[in-house]
Amino acid sequence: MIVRQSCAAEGCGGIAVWNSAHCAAHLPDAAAYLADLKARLAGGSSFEAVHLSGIALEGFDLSGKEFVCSDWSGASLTGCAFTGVKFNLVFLDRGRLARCRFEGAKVKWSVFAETEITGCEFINTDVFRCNLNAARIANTPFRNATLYSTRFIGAHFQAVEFENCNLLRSHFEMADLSGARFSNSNTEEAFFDRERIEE
Amino acid sequence: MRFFPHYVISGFSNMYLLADDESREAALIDPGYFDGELLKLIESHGLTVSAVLVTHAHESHIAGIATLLRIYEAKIYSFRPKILDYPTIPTREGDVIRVGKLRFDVIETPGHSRDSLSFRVANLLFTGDTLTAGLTGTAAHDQAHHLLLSSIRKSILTLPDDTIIFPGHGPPTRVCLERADNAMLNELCPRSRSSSAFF
Ligand SMILES: [Zn+2]
Repeated sequence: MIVRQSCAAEGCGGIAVWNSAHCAAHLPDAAAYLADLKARLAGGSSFEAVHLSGIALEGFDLSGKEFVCSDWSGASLTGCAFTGVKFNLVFLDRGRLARCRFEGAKVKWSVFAETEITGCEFINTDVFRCNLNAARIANTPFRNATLYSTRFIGAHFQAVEFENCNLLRSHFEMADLSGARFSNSNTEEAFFDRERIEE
Repeated sequence: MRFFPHYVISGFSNMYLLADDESREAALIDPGYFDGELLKLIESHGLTVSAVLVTHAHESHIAGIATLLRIYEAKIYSFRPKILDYPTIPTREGDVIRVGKLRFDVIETPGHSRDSLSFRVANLLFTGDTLTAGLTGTAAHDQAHHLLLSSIRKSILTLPDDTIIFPGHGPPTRVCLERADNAMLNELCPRSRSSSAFF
């Protein structure tokens, strides 16, 4: 996020992905890059400025890892495990998360706005001060999750259950909540109606 | 550049610490509180706060200044000539604030309050209460609301798409996301009311 490099391909305004001179679209050998990426991520536990904008990852196990200040906008992650992961300032906006598990993860100051989240699980997950505005979330349970100060403004929910969640200062204004169900959660401490905005 | 967001629970507001890697000089944006945790954050990275940047002089963004000035000899940059009886360096549109090698560009964004400023450093923009993720700031009356919308359109939405916005409340966002999704930027959307006077 802070220091990013532009893609080396002529005329491309894209952001170079981690450990490469090229953006995801201009990688000379995408398969080799992904294999190398998998090995590098497996070999460490804490990562900063790992920019993976536009990358497509499938079946990566990133459980227990920590990511700070990383730009993953437009990335597509399928069947990845993020159990116990720590995200701080991770930008995965306008991306896609399918069948990813975030059990026990601690996610803060991160952005998933306009991201399509399908078949994922947020169980015992802390999602603090995150931006999920205009996200399209389907078939994804939030169970025993803390969503303190997280925003779902204008988000769309389909078959999404919030069960036993802490919704203190979370925002749902202008969201399509017809497909959302709240049980044992403190909805009275969340903001649903624009007129209640006080910040 | 080192960058640390910090949550102030007393006013539900955000403050941001940015430091130059070389000189270890730091700027603190909107110190709404000053506690041991923040002091530890500053000291553990060997930083010295030499500048306080005030986006606007509401309590939840300035209440920590008195304590801060007992520890650090910092200059205060604000639209107002005085903050809590401390003299400031009155700051206007187009001014440049340098903290070590960091360069902050000053943008006047009145509306939420008459003294509202935004600060831009590299691809990061600090908007105070002018614009937050999915919402706009409150305004004391209709003219102030029009001024707020005009400030946002003229000075914020015209910045590059991937400019990252760190607001005074709530999670981060990006310029392109606010341009696409923030329903409150629609002139027809009624203003959020504020009890505080329009300075
Ligand atoms: Zn490229």
